[in-house]
Parts: sequence; C-alpha cells; structure tokens
Amino acid sequence: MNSHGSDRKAGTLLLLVVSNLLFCRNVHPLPICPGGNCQMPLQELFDRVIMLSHYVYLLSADMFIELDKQYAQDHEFIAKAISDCPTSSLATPEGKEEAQQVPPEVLLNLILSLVHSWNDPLFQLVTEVDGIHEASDAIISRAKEIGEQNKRLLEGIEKILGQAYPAAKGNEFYSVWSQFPSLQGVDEESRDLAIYNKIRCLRRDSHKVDNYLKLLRCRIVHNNNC
Amino acid sequence: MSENKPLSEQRCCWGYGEEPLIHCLYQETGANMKESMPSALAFILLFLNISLLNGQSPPGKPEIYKCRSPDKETFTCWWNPGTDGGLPTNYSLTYSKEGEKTTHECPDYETSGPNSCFFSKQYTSIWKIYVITVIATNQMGSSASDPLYVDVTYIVEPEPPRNLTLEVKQLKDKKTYLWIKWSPPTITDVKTGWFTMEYEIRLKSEEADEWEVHFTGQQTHFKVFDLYPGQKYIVQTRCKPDHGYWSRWGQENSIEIPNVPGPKIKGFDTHLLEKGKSEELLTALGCQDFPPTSDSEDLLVEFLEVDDNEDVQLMPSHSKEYPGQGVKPTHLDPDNDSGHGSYDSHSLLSEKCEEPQVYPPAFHIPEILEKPENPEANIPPTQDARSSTPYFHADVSKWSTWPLLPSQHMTRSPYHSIADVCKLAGGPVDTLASFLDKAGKNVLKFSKTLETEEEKVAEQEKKKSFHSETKQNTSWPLLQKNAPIVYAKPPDYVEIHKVNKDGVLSLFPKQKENDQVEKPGVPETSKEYTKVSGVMDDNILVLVPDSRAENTALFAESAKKVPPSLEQNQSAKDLASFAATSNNCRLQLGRLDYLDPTCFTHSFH
Repeated sequence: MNSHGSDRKAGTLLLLVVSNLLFCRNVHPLPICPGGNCQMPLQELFDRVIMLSHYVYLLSADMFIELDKQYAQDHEFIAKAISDCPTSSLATPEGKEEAQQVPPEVLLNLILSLVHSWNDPLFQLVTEVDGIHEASDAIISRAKEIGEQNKRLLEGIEKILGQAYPAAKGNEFYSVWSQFPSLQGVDEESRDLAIYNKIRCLRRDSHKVDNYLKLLRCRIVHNNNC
Repeated sequence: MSENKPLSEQRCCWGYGEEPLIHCLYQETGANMKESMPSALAFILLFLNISLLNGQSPPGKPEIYKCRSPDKETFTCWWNPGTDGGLPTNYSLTYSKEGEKTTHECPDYETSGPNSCFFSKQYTSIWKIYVITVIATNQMGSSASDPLYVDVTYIVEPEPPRNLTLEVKQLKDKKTYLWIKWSPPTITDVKTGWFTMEYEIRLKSEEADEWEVHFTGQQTHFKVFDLYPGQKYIVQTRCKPDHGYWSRWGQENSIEIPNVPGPKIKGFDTHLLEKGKSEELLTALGCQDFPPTSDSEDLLVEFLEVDDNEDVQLMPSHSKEYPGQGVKPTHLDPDNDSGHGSYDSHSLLSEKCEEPQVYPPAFHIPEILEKPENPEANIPPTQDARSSTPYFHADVSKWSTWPLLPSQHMTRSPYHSIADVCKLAGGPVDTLASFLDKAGKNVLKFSKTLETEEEKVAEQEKKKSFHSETKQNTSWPLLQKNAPIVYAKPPDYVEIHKVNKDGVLSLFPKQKENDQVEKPGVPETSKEYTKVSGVMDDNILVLVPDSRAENTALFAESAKKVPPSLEQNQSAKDLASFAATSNNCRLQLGRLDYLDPTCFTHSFH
C-alpha cells in the first residue's frame, strides 16, 4: 500500500514538474544577475538620478521665470524680496573646490537633506500661490511635479549610498524647515515677497543638487575624467 | 541682513541723478544742513547754472548691459557709458554680495576690455547674488546705473569649442562619411563634472544657403553620411552648458569630399543623358519594358566603350556627335573578340534588372562589383582603373565616361549606372546576345567563365587569352553577371552572315574600307550596313531599312532566309528576321551609323 501511494505521489510530482515545464514557457524567467547580485551598476544609477535632478532644475527655473515676469524691472521689489534661503543652514559647499573636498558620502547625505527639506515647502507653495498670479497655474503644476520627482530622486540617491557607501547610509540629517514663515494672515506684499524668495531659493537649491551630482558622477564613476 | 540698511535705502545713495544726491546729502549731513540749506541750495543752483551755460553737465546714466561667465568660475560685466557731459568722466563699478554687508570695488577693469569689470576666481562666488552698480563721475557730478542683480550660476556662456577636425572616412562597405571631431573650450572644467557641456554642429556645402544643424549631446564627435563627392563642405560647432547660453559658432573648417573615381566610358551620347531620356538609352541597351519615346532624332546610341586608363576623369561630352576619341572601327575577325558594336547584353541585363525606375543618378563601381561577392573582382573606387579591373582587358588604354551622368553626379563612378541600367531595364535580353553571337561567342564564353569561375587568376588567364586574340587595342566587354559594361574602343559593325537553324545570327566583322569610317561624312558611303532597329520577342531582329538601294541587297539576301516581319510582334522564335522600319530609326552621326534605340522600343512590351 505504502509503496503504491508513494509511487503515486512521485508520479504526480513528476507530472506537475513536466506540466510546469511545458506550460510555463511564456513566463518570464527570473533575471539572472552576475554573481547573483541584482544591482544596477553605479554608472546607470547616477545617470538616472542626474536625469531627475536635471529635470527638477529645469522645472524650478521655469517656475522662477514665470514668476519673475510679474516683477520684471521692479528693482525695489526684488531688492526687498531677496533674503536668506532657509536651507542656508545646511553646510553645502559653495564652489567647485569646496565641493571636491567634501567626501562623497558626506556630499550625498547633504544632497539628501537638501532635497528632503523641500518636501513641505513645495507642498505649501501650491496653496500659497493659488489664484494670486497670472502665472499661478504654471507655478502650481511645476511645484507638484517637482514634488513627485524629488521623491524618486531621494530613492535614487539612497540607492547610490546603499551601493557605494553602505556604511554612511543612515547618517542622513534633515534640516528643519522652520524658517519659512507661514503666510497666513500676512499682507499681500509680504506674501508676494516671500513667494518670490522661496522660488528663487528653490531654483538655486535644485541647481546645487544637480551640480553636486554631476561632480560626484565624474568623480566616482569616471575618476575625474569625464 | 537685519543690521544692514534695506537695499532700497542703500540704492538711494548711489544716486539716480541730481535730486537723490541732494536727498542723500541731506541725510548724511544731518541737522546742520537744515540751517545752511538755503545757502547750500543757492550755491548748488548757481553752480549748475554756470556749468549749463558752459555746456557741461554731470555724466549721463551708465547702464550695465551684460554679465557673462565662461566657466562658472569667473565672470565679467560690461557697461555702456552714457553721455560724459562734455567733461572727462571716470567710471567705477561697485558691488556687494548677498549675505555680506560691505561694498567693494571692481578688482579688475582691464582684462575684459574697456568699460568692463573682470571678477577672477578669487572674487567669484556661485550661488550668491551680486548687486552691481556702475558710477560715472565727472567734474560736474556723478551718475549711477540701475543696480543689477546677478547670480553667476545663471549667466554662463562658454567660448566655442576648439580643435575642429574634419576627416573623410570609409566604412567597410565603402560608404564614405565625414568624421567630425572637436574639443571643449580650454577654460571650462568638464573633466571633473563641474561643467557639463552640450554641443551642436552645423554643416553645409559651399553653395548651399541653409545650414544643416545637428545636436550632438555631450559627445565631441559626429559622423555625417550621404555627402556628395566633389563638393566642399563647411562645418562649425558651438557649445552650451547644461544650464546656460549657447556659445557663438566656432571657427569654420571645410573639407572637400573626394570624388569616387570611375572608369570613363566613351562612345555614348551625353545629350541623351542630359535630356533625361533614359528610357531611350536603356532600350538601346536592349532593356525591356521601357516605354517608347517619341522623338528619336537626336538620339545617339553607341556602344559603350571603356578604355583602361590611369586618368579616371569623367568626360563631360556635350556633343551630339560621337565623341570620337579613338573611335576607330576595326576589323571584327571571327577570331577577334574586339566586341565592336556589341556587348554582352546578357550579362549586362542580368536578372538584376527589375522594375523600371527613374534614371539612376548614382554610379558606384563597388556596388556592382560586390554582387559577385568576389572581393578580388571589386574595383575600389579610388584606385586606378588599371590595377583594379580584373574584368577589363589589361590593354584597354583609357577610361571614358559613361555619359549617363547628369552634371551633378558626374563625379560618381559611371559604372553604377550600368547596373542601374540593368535595374531599370528589367529582364535579360537574350535576343541581343544572340544577335551578337559570332562576335560575342568569345565574350559569352568569357563571361560564362567569369560566372562560373570566381578566381582572379582564371579571369586573368582568360583575359590574356582574350588579349592574344586581339591584335588591336581593343577589348571585349567583359561582363560578369553584374559587372559593368566595358566596351572596345572603336565601335564597329557586324555583318550578319547568316541565321542558323537555332535562330542564332552568325556575324562577320565588317570589313573596313580604307579609312572610310574615319572620314567625316563617310557614313554616306557605308551603305552595306543595316541598322538593327529592334529586337522582337527573343530572337527576331528588326532592322532599319536603308533608303538607299544598296541596302536592299542585304535585305533581299536576308529575306531569302528569313521572312521579314514588319513592326509586328510576331513570335517567330526560330528565326531571326529583318524588318524594315521607318527611317526615323536611322541615325547618322559622324562616320558611323548607329542603332536607334527607340526603334527597339516597339519590340518590347
């Protein structure tokens, strides 16, 4: 009895295996990564991340141009509007030489902080700008898009860190976005000035992120020989 | 910045003209001013009045019109002076940086030229706003420009790329392309990634009006295909940072695309080609399926003649007359494969002949020769014809152009046209092959040998044996299936000796009368010839009746053997027949009579 049963089991198993082989031909095979490590190569990670950062910069530059049209030649307004960017508390390198002296993993973490610290202000911007400008819609759509892309940007940078500098991962520090005052109950002019400054700072920080990443790519992937 | 005066107040004292100056004076001097105000005011007014009477005034307001950074590490600002008020005027540039309280003066007025200020690396910060003003001062007073808010990040405009090099190269399949290379401008730091550059090239041929522009991304090289040989092309490049302005177009560079040399084929009427009557040409070659053309008067179809020559120039011949270059009819001995007036049409019009097209503009030897897939048989376009032509008789002395070429494409190898002719014509023409039988026997044999034997040695042997049979400097068109036509130098006639039972014409070479054919006007006397006006079906020759009586004998003779068919599509497949057609088919040019290709047309569907 027992042998008979086990024979049947074996037969069933065999049948299952064979039928799987026959019927599952259209199933995509699992990707086979070299060495069993299914990681994207670092160069490709960087390329993708830089595509995102480049795009985010273009969006923020467009946003600024749209807004600036409203105040073209109004030097007084511009003079009043320019004030510190809240992210200036982050010790981001202020030039090429400075940036090259920062260790890559530290710079990557700085970038993470910079990008992350814009999540909330972008969100707020959408409500702040609503309806007050001709350019409002253009600004709002871009602000939303930047918000989306920033999330992917963060993921990508974290992947790079995890792959290239696994030890440094987890040392992220985020700046607290407390210095952007709330615009509720504020007079029109102050509100406009604040919005102008915010968008100006966004454009600048996007440019920093993009430039840092391009520096890092040439340094890490191409050994400073782009 | 809370301790600083708001920028608007600071600006005030840089002055917009006379009034604010006075206002600032008031602010600075404080209470004392109030007491002496009336006298101070009077004094100033007096002073101004006096200078106005002199025609002098404080300077006009300068204007900073442009600031640019070529590398994101330095930058320059330029200003327009404004009026000088008739007095020597000094200009000074002052600036302050975002986050700093102090005002500085321009560190360098010289490097970037007059009315400029250059900020070297030491003085340049990126991601910071500079507030820059220019003040014009003369004896009468001063005037300040509007302040300019500048962030170096966004004013980047590089120098153009350098080291633009052009080179014509070839792919394995002999396709030529232009290889363009350049370097980024010197001062930009692209290597570390601080600067990311994108490029654009533009090119045009010398005569063209419009540029062809190509964006090349971040790469510093580019390939351009499909350029016309013999033309000179001008190329320029420019570059742009990832976020910034395009540079100006850089130094021009130009290159001439070398001609693809090809054999010259004599004995063809270039007029035919220039007028675009390609169908007539093709029918002359016996290509089927071509629409008949109406006017054949000015057509001249001769044999194709190719001389082997180092000099592979194309020969634009505009004369209707036979070019006459070395065109000498010679004896066509039965043993002499001179190939006059004939060609291996079978090999010319091989099965490669397909649907008719517009007259082919491009000729390209290698393309033809590649088909047999015998690399040794290929004629590389740039080599001299002599060394590279296993197909052609070594003794052929010079190439002449196949005048199929339209002027613009004269620079291409003419042989391509022959293959294209094949393509246009469609279908093999066995009839002509049979027509040329006697004279062509050797050729056919040869060509078959070529077809079956793809070794160069064998070809050469054949060639040599061929040569030994020819005393004169002639060659038979040596054609492989897809080979270009080669024609003997002098055209000649064949006399139809008889038609055998297989429908094969046996031909005698025409006996040359003394210098008869070399004299102009001689054709009048070459009355024993008859022109083949067409070929019907597979093996019926349609001949032109000669109005002269002498020709009738020939007709009569032939008529005994062959029932004539007159412009009909009879299918007398076992017989060659002669048919009389209109005199239109007859062409007399120079010394020789020629086949009128249009007369062939009616014989083809």
